[in-house]
Amino acid sequence: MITVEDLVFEYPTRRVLFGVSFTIQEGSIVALVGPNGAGKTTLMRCIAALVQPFSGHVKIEGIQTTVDPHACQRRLGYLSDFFGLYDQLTIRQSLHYAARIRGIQESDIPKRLLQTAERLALTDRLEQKAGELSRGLRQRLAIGQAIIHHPKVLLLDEPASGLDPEARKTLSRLLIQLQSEGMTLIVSSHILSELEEYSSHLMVIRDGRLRDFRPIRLEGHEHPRRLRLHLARPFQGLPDILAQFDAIQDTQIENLSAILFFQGDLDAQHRLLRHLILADVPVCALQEEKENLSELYLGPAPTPTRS
Amino acid sequence: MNPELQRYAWLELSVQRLILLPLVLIGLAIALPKQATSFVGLFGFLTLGVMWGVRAAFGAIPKEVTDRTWDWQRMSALSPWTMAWGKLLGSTLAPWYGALISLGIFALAGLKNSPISIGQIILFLVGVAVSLQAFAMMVSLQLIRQPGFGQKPGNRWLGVAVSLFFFFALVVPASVLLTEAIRHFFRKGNTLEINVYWYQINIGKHLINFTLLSLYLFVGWSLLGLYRSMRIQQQYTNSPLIWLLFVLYLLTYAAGFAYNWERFLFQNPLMAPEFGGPLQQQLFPKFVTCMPLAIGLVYLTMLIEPKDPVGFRKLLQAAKERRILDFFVHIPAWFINVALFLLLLVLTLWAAPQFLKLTPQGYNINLTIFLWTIFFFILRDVSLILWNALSPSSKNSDFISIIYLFLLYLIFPNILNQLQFHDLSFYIMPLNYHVLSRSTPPNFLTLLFSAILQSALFLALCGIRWKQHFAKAEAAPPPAED
Repeated sequence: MITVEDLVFEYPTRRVLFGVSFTIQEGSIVALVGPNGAGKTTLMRCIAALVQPFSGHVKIEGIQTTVDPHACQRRLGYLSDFFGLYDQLTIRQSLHYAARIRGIQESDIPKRLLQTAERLALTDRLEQKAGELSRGLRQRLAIGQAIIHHPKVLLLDEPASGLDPEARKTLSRLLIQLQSEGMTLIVSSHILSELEEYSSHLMVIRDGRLRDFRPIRLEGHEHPRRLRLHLARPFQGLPDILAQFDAIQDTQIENLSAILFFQGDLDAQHRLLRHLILADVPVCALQEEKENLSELYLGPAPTPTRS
Repeated sequence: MNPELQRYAWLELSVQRLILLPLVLIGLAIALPKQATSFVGLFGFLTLGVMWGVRAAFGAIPKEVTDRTWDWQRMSALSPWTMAWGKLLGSTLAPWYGALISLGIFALAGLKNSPISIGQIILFLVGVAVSLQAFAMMVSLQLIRQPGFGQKPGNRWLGVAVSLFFFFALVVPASVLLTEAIRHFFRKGNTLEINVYWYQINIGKHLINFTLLSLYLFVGWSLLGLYRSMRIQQQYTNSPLIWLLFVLYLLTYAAGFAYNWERFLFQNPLMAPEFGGPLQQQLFPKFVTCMPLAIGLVYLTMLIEPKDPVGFRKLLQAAKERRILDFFVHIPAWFINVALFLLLLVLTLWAAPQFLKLTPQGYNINLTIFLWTIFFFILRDVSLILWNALSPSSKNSDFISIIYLFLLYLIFPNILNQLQFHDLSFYIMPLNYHVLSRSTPPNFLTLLFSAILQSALFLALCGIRWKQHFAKAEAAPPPAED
C-alpha cells in the first residue's frame, strides 16, 4: 500500500531524513514512534505529498507522490499534530465543506455527512459551532473531515495528545474499526500504551533514520507466542524439563518466573502445563504475555526489517 | 458553487455586514451634497474594492497557514484553478459587496462633461481591483514558501504595500497619459486626442481602449500567475517557460513606447549618436526602454521568490545527473531575469552607438563600461540578497537585505558626501550629483572596477555561506545507540 524508497528530506538548515525505506502492507496500523525531532512529522508530510523530498520516492498504491500528488492525496487522509478548524462553521458546515473539497458528489454529501457524524458520535451536535467544542470533540470533527472521502490510508500525527482517557478510548475503538474496514493507518504518538492497544506494527525513527520496523501483534501459528510462567518457589530442574518440549524455542528463566517463546496452539499449551504439574514444578500461573511497546521501543533495537 | 466560495460566504457574509455596508454607503451618498455623490462612489470603491480587497486577498492564505488549515486544504481534490479563483473571489466577497454598491452609487451619480464614459471608468476600476487582488494573493503564495512568513498578522500589510507599489508602477504611467488626454480634452473642448505612439501607431485616438486592453491583458497574466503559484502549493511542478513568456511579453509591450522618445535622441545634435546601421538604430531605443523594466523584474523576483538552498541543491543535483526536465523545473525566476538582463545588455551593446552624450555637461560616455557597471552592481545586490538568504537564521532575510540595500544606496553615500568624500561615495552609488555635475568626467573605468570588486566580495561571502550550508546539510546525525 505504501512504499518508501531511500527517502531523503532536507530543510534549508539541516537534513532530517537519511535514506528511509520501508513497505507497509494494506490493513496495517503502524505505530510511528521516536524522540522529538526524529523526523516523524516530516516523514508523514512526505507520505501525504505535502512536501517534496530531496531525493527518493514515496508511492501510494504504486503512484509516486512527486509524479501525481493529487492522485495520491485522493487516497489519503491526514490529521496533523496541530490541526485547525473553522471555528465559525458548524459541524454540519465543516463536514459539508470537507466532503466538497474532497470531491464527493453533491448528491452523495448528505448521506456521507450523516455516516461520518454517526461514526464519530457527532450526530446530535451537527448545528454546534466548531469553536464551541471541547478538545476531544474537535479532534473527532478533524478526524471526520479527514475520513469523509473514505481514504485508503489515514495518517494521524499525535492524535491522542490532549485527550482525556475516555476520549482516548473512543479514538482507539475508532481506529480499530477503520482498520477492520480495510484502511491502512500510520499513527504517531508519544503515548506508547495507547498505541499498544491497536497497532499491528512498530516503526522507530531516530535521528532521521529508520531504526526498527516489525510486527507487534502476531497472528497465526507461524510466530512464537510469549508465555510467562510464574512459580511459587524457585525450581532447580526447570531448564531440563522445558528443554524436552520442541514447541519451546527459547527461554529466559529468572528466580520465580520464566518467559517461554512457545510455538504451538492452545492444546500444546495445555499439554505443557499438565506436564509441568506432573513433574512437580510449583506452577502458579502460565499465561500469554503481549509484547510491551515500551520495552520494544526503549529496549535494544534489532536490525530494521522490511514488512 | 465553488466550495471555497461557499465556505467564505458562510464565514464572511454576516447579516450585520450585509445590512451595514449599504446603509453606510447609501447614507453617505444621501447625506453629502449632490456634487459629492460620485466622489462617495469612487472613494468607496477605492477604499473597499482596492484597499480592503487587496488586504483580504493577500491575507487569506497566510491566515490559513497560521490557523493550521492550509495543509489540509492543499490535499483537496479541487484543481489549482478552482482553488485559486474560489479563494480569490471568496476572500474578497465582503470587499466586493461594498465595492459593487459604491460602483452603483458612482454610476447613478454620473459624471458631467466627462470625456470617458461611466462604463469605461467602471471597467477600468474593476480591472485594477481584480488585477491587484490576484497579484496580492500570488505574492502571498510566494511569500508563505519563505521560512517564518505569515506567522505575524502584521505581515499581511506587506502585501498591501507591495501591491500598491506595483499599482503605482503600473497604473501611474497610464494615469499620466489619461490625465494628459483629459487636460487636452478640456483645453480643446471636444477631443481626447493626444499623440502617444506604440510601435509607430498613434494610440492617442484610442487611448482609453488601449489602456483597458493593456489592463485586462494584465488581469489575465495576474490570474495565470495566481494559478501557477497555487499549483506549487499543491505540489505540482511548473515549467519556467510561462514566466519567460510573461517577461518577454512585458519587454515587448514596454519596447513599443520607445518611439515616443527615440525621435529626440535621433534629432538632438547634442547627443550625436553614431549607429552601426539602420537595424541597430531601430533596436537601440527599444532595448534601452526595456532595461529599467528588466532590472526591476530582477529585484522583484529576488525579493519575493524563495531562495531556498535546498532548491539550489536540487538544481545542481539535476544538472549533475543530467536530468534536463528537472533542471529546468528548478530554475528560479530571478535567475531567468538575470540571464535575460545579461542578454539584453549584450544586445544593447551590439546596437549601441559608439558614443553617447548622456550627462548635462555633454561629455562622452563609453556605453560598454557604463552598462557593465550596471550589471556588476546588480550582481552585487543579487549576491547580497542570496548571502542573507543562506544565513543560518534565514527568517526575515529579505527584509534584512532591503535594509542593506537602503544603507548601500542611500545612507553610506550620503554620509560620505557629508564628509566631502564625493568620489568615494560615487563608487558606491554612481548617481552622485557632486561628481556628475563636474566639468571633467569621472573615471568610469574605476567605477567599473569598484563594481566588480564589490560583486566579487559578496559572491565570495555567498560562497562561504554556501559551503557552510552544504557541510551542515549533509552532516550525518550521531549514530543511534543500538
